[in-house]
Amino acid sequence: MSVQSWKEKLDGQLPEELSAEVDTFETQIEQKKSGQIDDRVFAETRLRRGVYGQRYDNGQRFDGQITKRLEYPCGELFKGPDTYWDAPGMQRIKIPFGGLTADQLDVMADLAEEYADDILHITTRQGVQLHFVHIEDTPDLMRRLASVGITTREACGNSIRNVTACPISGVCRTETFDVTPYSKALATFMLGHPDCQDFGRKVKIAFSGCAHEACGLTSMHDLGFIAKTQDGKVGFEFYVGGGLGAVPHQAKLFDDFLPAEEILPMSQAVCRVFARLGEKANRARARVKFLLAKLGLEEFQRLVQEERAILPHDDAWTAYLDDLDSYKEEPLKIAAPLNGAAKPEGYDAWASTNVYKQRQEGYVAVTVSLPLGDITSDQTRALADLSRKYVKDTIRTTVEQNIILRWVSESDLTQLYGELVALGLGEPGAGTIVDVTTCPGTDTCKLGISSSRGLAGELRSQLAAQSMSLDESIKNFRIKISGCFNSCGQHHVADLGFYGNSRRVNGYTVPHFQVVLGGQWTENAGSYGLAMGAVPSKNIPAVIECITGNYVANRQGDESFQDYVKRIGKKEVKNMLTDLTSVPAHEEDASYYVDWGESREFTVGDMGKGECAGEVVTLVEFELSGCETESFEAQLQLDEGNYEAAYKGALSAMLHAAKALIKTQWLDVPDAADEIVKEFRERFCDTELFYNQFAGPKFANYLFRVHEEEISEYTQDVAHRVIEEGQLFIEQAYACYGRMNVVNA
Amino acid sequence: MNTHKIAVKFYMDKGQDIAPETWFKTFNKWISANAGPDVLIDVVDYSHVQNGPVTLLVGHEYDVSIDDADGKRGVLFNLKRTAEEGDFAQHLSAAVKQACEMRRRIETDGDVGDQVAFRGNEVCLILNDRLQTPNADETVQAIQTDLDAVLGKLYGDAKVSISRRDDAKARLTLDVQAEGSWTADQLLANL
Repeated sequence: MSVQSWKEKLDGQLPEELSAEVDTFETQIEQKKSGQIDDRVFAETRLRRGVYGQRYDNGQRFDGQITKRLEYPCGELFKGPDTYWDAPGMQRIKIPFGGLTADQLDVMADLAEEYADDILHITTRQGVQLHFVHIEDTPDLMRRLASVGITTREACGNSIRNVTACPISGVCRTETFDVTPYSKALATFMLGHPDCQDFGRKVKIAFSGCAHEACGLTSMHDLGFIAKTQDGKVGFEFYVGGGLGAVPHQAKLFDDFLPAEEILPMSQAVCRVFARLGEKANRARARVKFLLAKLGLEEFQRLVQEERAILPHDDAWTAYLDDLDSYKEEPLKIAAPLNGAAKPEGYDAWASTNVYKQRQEGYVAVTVSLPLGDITSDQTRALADLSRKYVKDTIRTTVEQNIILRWVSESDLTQLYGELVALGLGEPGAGTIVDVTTCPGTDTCKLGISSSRGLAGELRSQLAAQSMSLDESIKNFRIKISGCFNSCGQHHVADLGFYGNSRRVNGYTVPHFQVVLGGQWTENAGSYGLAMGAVPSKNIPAVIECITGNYVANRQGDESFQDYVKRIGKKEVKNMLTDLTSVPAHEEDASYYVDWGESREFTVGDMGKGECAGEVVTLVEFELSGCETESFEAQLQLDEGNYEAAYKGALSAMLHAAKALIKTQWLDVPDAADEIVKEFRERFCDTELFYNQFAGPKFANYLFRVHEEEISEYTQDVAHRVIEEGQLFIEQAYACYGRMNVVNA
Repeated sequence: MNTHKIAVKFYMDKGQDIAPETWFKTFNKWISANAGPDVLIDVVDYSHVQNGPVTLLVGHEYDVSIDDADGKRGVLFNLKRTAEEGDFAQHLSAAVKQACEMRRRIETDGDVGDQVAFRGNEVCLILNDRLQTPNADETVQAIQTDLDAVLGKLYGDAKVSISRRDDAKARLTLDVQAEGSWTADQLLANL
């Protein structure tokens, strides 16, 4: 009978690097428990592993009348500032370009059952989130993900987030070319890249195959790539500085044709400039869009191009280009038409919205609609089996929180539909007004103000019931809802967008949503909507009825909704909504004071400090913390009698600490030990920067001696000595960095 | 072989039509009334997914959900962690006892108690730990003695049958059928 741990069970089956990363994170968890890591540093450490806080992790919850303490058994052990250790959290899983295999679906389904709440949530950036996960379960969870090639690294925190791409890229009828290999290559290249470790905040990247569709929504990303060919060459229109959030910015065209071989180095150059010049202290302005606005496009371009010119060459920039064919997907079944097959009830409605005819004759891409982006473990495994049965591993998540099966033979459609219906996954309406997108909002997010999921569920039910009678002109409207102004629900790019806020009315705090109208989903999120005013949550369904009814009645010819909103203007829209902004007295209708999907009276008191922005931890602090972990692991090796590994681990920790300090002066310090020691000697020892007030160069000399000494036998004493010296060296590195900051301040 | 990660489901005989909103309110009321030592954290509505957790009460040690998985509505008690050391028999016994208590709490709840009834002679045991308790006959053989002991105590002299669901991807899931009809009080008295 099996009694080993997941670490033992999966030993040798994980990619070495991923395995080592998870081991390190597990060590850091133990270090945090024993008080060896600062709350802030640990918060950023876990965030960079995708381990996020969740609502109520500050140990309090409003029950409708009073705020009560949640007495987590961990006492005063925290996993971040004001974040209790035992409080359940969210695990975000990066899915580059949304690409999944059946085996990956199976594993995530198992993880949702064993460590979460039996639900996988597809995010608005093609990722997956598991909720209510205990932090001590995360290392095993990560190992099991790594066993199928998934990493959670940099799924949160101040890093390069999931690289997204058009989910039908490669099968699209209008794309310039398949962007999948390029998005995958950039995601791989940027993962853990040294130039991406010192951002003030996150960076989001997206790829689109064509300019006119919604595709990858490149206009709302920090870096956006739209496929383009020029004179027979493959490349991209390259955009920078887009983003939503409280202050949305449309991305600016940086280069109208960036050759494919330049996308990795140019992205690297942007990251370097952002890391160097981007805001660090003011979290609200620490995105690329603000740096771009501050510098101006021309100066930003100049700096990036200057940086690009001095980048040390990296073979990885173009290595993947020799292997583009390996990214090509193949169908499982032979293409065949759906000739005369009996169509089950509901099939036609479903096929009209959820089936996309691929450019490859006889094949279609099928969208599996997931209400609120949720799917159970059982459904997920069953979907994995359907994938094996009909399409191999050609599965993609979408930013509209659905899953697409690509390469379905048309002849299989009716049978597949029947099987999806049996699983509760056969709902029609993908990409229509019914297919409401929403962030987690107050359900689980610490920043949520109003219940975006509650509202989305209500709208979905109401609109699905009316779907057959809705006017054609509004059927394909997008509704997108965020729980707060941070725009995770992407409300700015919807026809009908809403974000949560609140108003004090009659002495009560009342849940509201700001109405944002006329955003453009197509043309890669081509324009953002206009805020029209806040309306009580309970009146939002009426707002939709009022606005869409007015549009249907008064549109001029084929006037788009965006043009209609512009034509009638904000004033007219506000007039339309005036009656819907009032809130009845509490005793007259108490339902206005309770949010959708809630039973408790509304409060904003459950909000906590968000972790979207990560923690303000400098690169040096972060790297020195990693050195401490390395030193700790060396100690463990010593305890286990592995003296050579202990010695080398301690030396490596010293070298990394020295390198962290050198990076404050020279970002491109090489990895070679000789180079690090040489640079450290010149920059920190000869200048006496590293000198201790009383001991002078003593601690620096530890590094020099250990680096130069030749060991004939790795004994316990030798290993022990180097570990001790290494710890002192790291402490001195902290002290040195502290002195440097005082001087710089 | 040991695990404390055990889920126990009692199926409903009555109350399948109780609206998810009612369960949502009930579980919120439980959090509000909670005086410890259990840590009850939040309630989540998943009524939009098919055959999953309809309404979920999230706790630190355990979750409780009105559950539609396997197509039959019931209450699922899911033991996630425990401060108690013990062998598998002790963990199983504790999980079953807590599940019975949860069943009784629902049946006596002021808002839903009179609308709901559970089948006492049918219980589903899920070992939520694929590492320690893979879904295989060998696992059942390994825990058979413990199973017999706990179920023997639960159902006294009544004849009990156990069958394993044969789904290679699923967790080890055991359907337990006992003779007779059993109230929560009777089962708890037996334990």
